[in-house]
Amino acid sequence: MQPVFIAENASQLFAVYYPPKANAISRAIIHIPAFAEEMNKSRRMVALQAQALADQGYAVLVLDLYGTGDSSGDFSQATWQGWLENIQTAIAWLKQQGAVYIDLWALRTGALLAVDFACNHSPNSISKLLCWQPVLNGDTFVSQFLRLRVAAALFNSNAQQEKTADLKQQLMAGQALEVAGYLLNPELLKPLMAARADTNDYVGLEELCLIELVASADQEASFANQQFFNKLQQQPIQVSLQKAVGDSFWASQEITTAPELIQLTTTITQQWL
Amino acid sequence: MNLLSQISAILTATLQQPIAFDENTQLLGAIPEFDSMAVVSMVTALEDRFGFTIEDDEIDAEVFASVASLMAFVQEKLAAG
Repeated sequence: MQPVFIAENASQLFAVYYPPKANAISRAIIHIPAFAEEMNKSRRMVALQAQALADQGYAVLVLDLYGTGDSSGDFSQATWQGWLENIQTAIAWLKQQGAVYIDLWALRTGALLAVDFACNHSPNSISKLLCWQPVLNGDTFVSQFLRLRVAAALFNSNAQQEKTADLKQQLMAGQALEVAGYLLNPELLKPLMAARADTNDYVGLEELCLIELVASADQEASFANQQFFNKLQQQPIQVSLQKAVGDSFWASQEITTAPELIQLTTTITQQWL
Repeated sequence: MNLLSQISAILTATLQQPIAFDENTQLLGAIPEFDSMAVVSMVTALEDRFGFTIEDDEIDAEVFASVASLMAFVQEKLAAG
């Protein structure tokens, strides 16, 4: 495991690089993180999975997108377009290390970014995409995120009651907004709100693998994921939807892990190497 | 599964605390872990589980005061839907 700084124009992107344990580099995978606090909560799971992938023979890069983690910039300066370019930079860096095939492994809204990258920004650059608990509708996600600000009013009797619809309007009008300690740049939030997993052409991507965490083995995959999966079957791409039992580690109060998810992921990626 | 055990399961998953919830358990202001992040997680989990939509003005301190008030709210939403 090596901490690295990757130069991109005038900024430095921080990443943790896990070189492949035994073999020479051929296949690399980049982690595309979740949003804001969800990214922090999932650090441990991501580190565990990254190590497991490196043990398998993958070159793994866990990237802090611009304005997050230890990368340059403040969160308020982060934009969707900039994040897409960060992925491009990470790919170029991995290719310098000798990687031939690049896969992405995305968590939550990271899936929307990864899909936008693979389908629209740089078609044919990504081989396979694995998504953990993908957010499929950016607008719904943003509503849920803005609720943090609405809910915060419950703990402050002087705060005025706000509505997520009004907050969204402010973002659409180009106004930055602070939610749960994160200053949201409209240039980040507007594209996120517009992002939909199911409106893309999945041409140039070989395989898309969706994994949903469920509370118990008898629980079905969510309706949204099943619908997305059905829709993808009409696309010229290999697609699967699988379940793993475990806690929602990206949202839990205490840091938790979902060992079954790591096991399942490792089984899938074993066939990719 | 009855409503109390369903809500208890969601609370346990949200708070990650080994608390035995009953109808009299006080939440907002009584459990330190029950912060705004927990409220939002609860709202999303309730929507996912029961299939209704919770509006912004329904995210109210009284709803999240106790397990009993939360149960009453869910029952009301289910009856309305």
